[in-house]
Amino acid sequence: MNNLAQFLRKNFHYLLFVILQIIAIILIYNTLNYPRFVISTFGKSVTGPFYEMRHFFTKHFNFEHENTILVQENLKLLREQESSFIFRSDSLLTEAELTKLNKRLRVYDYTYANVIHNTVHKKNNYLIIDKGASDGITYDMAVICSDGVVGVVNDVSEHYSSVISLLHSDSRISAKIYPSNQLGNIVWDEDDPEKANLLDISQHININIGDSVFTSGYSYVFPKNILIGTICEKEVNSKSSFLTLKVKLSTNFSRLNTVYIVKNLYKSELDSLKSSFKNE
Amino acid sequence: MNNIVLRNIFRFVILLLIQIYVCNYVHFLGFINPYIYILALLLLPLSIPKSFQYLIAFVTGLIVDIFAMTYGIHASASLTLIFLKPYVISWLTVGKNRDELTTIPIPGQKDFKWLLIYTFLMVFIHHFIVTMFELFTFRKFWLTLISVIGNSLFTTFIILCVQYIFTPTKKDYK
Repeated sequence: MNNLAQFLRKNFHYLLFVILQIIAIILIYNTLNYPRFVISTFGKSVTGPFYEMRHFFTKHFNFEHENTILVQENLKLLREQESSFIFRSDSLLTEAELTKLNKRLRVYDYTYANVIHNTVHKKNNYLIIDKGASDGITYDMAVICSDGVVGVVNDVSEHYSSVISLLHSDSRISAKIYPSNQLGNIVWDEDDPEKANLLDISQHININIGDSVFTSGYSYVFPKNILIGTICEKEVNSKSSFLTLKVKLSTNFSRLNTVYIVKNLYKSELDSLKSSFKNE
Repeated sequence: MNNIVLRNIFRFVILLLIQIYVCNYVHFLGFINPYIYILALLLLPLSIPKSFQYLIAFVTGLIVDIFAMTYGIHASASLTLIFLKPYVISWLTVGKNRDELTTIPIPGQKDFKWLLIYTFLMVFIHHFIVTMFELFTFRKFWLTLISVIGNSLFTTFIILCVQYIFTPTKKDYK
């Protein structure tokens, strides 16, 4: 008995080696689902925080790539919007037939750009974007962002363009109030970068605070139904027949980065039409 | 003594973190995936009781397994590695005195050729076991063997680089 104990003490490590090896092999080829499940759940509860920590650092490396993918996706969605086309699809015809018959005419096309210069607190604010004539940008194109309206392209150079921001004394955007569908004009009130005035709404029209204001689509620069903001102040003015309305702009102008440029494909046609009735 | 223990623990932690965060994501040329945590096992002093060495190797392998979701494979390979380690060392140092068995193979104590053969042999044993357990088939055996050798050479290269860069002074290992 003593000999056995001595033998075991001397060769304990061989025994341990065999035991551990057996455990390892059991772990590898365990056909029982339950222990494996227990180990893997335990394993995940241990490894989870480690992977999270790794992700915390590595996620930053992919942001730029991710961003370009998202911008491309947004462009695709913008292009598919109903307001980008002249005729809505007919229920009697399929999509393919409509495009074949040229019934669904594309009016607006979109590209994206990054804002590289931007002011907010001046009397007349401009933006500069990093796309220009070589990217097909021309005078009078609309600039929007994911939150709403930004402005109109003013001047174009080879690789850059300047944009008249909505926060500019000359900017004037045709707007429509939902749900009353009244037309008005958005003009900036020159001191608050978060608010603008909505003009030309008659006093008798029922307008509530909180009503949404969209682009009307009549200006041919902006497509229909792009959010401008919500009504935040309403005042009945006894001197004029119009209401004094203030709109809280949905766009945060101090935080612009990626913007989308809207191109009207029939701009020259519409321009010539417009010039003809100016001559009248 | 305390210094050696701390040094070893520190080495294990650092190498395991590198293994988990970096090396598990390396897929060089499609099949090269270095397992550099072996270095910690190779540098484990032989003076530690054998059963304790086995436990350390098993737990180390199991930690790598949990992160690689290959339950048991690395544990088994590490255990075999630590089991064969004294035999490989004694086999490689024939005709020399037995005292060398208790020293640790680091640059400065052994020449480069010895270290290269020793490291490659140990790494090859480990990688071979890991790969065979993962595949669990003898189909395309020679192709597997070539990829194991390639992977072993890569790991050996990294381990030797690390060893020569971070060689501690001789007196730390007694």
